[in-house]
Amino acid sequence: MKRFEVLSLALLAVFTAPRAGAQEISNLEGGRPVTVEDAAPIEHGRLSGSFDYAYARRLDGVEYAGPGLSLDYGVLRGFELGAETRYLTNPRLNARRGIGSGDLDVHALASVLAEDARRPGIAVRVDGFLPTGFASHGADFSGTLLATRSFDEFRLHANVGSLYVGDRRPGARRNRLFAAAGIDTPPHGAWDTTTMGVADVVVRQSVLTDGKVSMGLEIGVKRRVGIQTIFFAGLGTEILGERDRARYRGLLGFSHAF
Amino acid sequence: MKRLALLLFVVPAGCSLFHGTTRVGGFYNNAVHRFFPDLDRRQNAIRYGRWRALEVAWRNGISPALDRDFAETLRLQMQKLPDFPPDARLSAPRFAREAAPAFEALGAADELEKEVEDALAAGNASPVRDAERIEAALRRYNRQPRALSEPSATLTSPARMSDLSSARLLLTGDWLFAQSAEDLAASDYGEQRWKVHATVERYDHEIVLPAPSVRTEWYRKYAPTFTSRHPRAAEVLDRVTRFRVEIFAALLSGVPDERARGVERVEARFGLAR
Repeated sequence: MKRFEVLSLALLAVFTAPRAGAQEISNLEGGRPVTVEDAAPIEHGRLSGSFDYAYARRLDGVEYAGPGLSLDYGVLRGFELGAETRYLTNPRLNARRGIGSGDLDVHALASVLAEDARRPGIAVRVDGFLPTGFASHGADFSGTLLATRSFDEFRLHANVGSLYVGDRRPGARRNRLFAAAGIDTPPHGAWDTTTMGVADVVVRQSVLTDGKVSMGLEIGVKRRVGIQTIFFAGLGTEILGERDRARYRGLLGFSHAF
Repeated sequence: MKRLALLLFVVPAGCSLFHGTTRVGGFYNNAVHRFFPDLDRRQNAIRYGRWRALEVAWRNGISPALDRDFAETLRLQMQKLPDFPPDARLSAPRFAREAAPAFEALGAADELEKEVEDALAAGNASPVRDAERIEAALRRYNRQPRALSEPSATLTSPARMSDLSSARLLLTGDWLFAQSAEDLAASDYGEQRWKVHATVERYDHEIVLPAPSVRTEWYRKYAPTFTSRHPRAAEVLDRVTRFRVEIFAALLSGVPDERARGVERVEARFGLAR
């Protein structure tokens, strides 16, 4: 498809969005600012676009950085469609670790059970990673189960999933399991929900069949800076894993609800 | 892949058209926030107060001592004038998960109230455009699964509600919404500014010592022009105020089970299924 057509359709989607309510700060988007995501799709009829810039330095001294873009739309009540992409420097080095540059991630997120007094909210997310970027090898797919439980002062989140690698390289794993557990809370209390702090722990199987499991710690903050705009920032490190794991990783960005 | 990309953008556009509204005609969303920041900040404070009052009442019930303490907190917090509305799930987390139908109904009503005021405050507002936009907002509201139905019989406000300082403060907030809708509906863009300014000043005085009565027909009483031009919207918004008052009345009990049963009864009266 020509870029002009894509741009035209994107603009059409933006201009015909049915309403532009305030961006909900409690709605966590995976990877912005931390990996863990809550079990709530974006509100029905709302279109949210995000732009961010990430920087990372690996233990072996390699640096990489680049912008990320995402769009999420609440197609139905409790059902979201979205797409995102990220461009990174050193795409070939990162591709060996399963980190694509320019790949298009298309996802659907569906709420299965709403949270109530007895059970947490449950949702299912399916991703298709399309090989549109540099050094890409075939399409990958992932399925994730998400759970969110709110308490009076904070919320807990858990994500568990598996990534199916479509075009496996020699020595690489076909299915990579991953899990994340996180917590978020408004630091100024329930009388001021302008800011939200979030932290998580992420565990991933290695790309290689004989590789080590990696474990990362991340913290982040989201702050409403406009009636429709949220600023977010995240910082993370991988404390376990291969020698080429990230020593630290930072991310800054904005999301805007149309 | 091309088809997937096409689908991703065509589906939102198609769904938006299904909603019966396009934004091409004018960017009036969040008009109160843009053009009337003083009013918007007070309305945000009231929104915080409403959700926090529900949360506190749902957790503990409402006793005279708690009412005194909470009213004092409410008065202090309502003077902080936040720039943005609250995230209801973070302001009233237990009420959100344990009384989901009432929580969602009030969330949908908040959205309607906001859309109505934004339509009236738009830079390009006119009686015809206002009517179109408010009707579109009502259509969206009525499609919500938690839209309130008119109850079969009207209950009189419980006497104890008048004794509660926090209830009087919140009802003064309801008055601000109705009065500002009247100011915006009954004047052009030039006059709106002064009328809203006068209403905000009056609200600032009244919040210090709210009126002792509990009256729930706010739009019909205080917004006659708005009610005559948009009778369906006024009816729905007054219904929401009655719902809110009845929910608070149900939370007066000190016994958690009684509070839960009371809220369920109010939900059933207004057509909300569990």
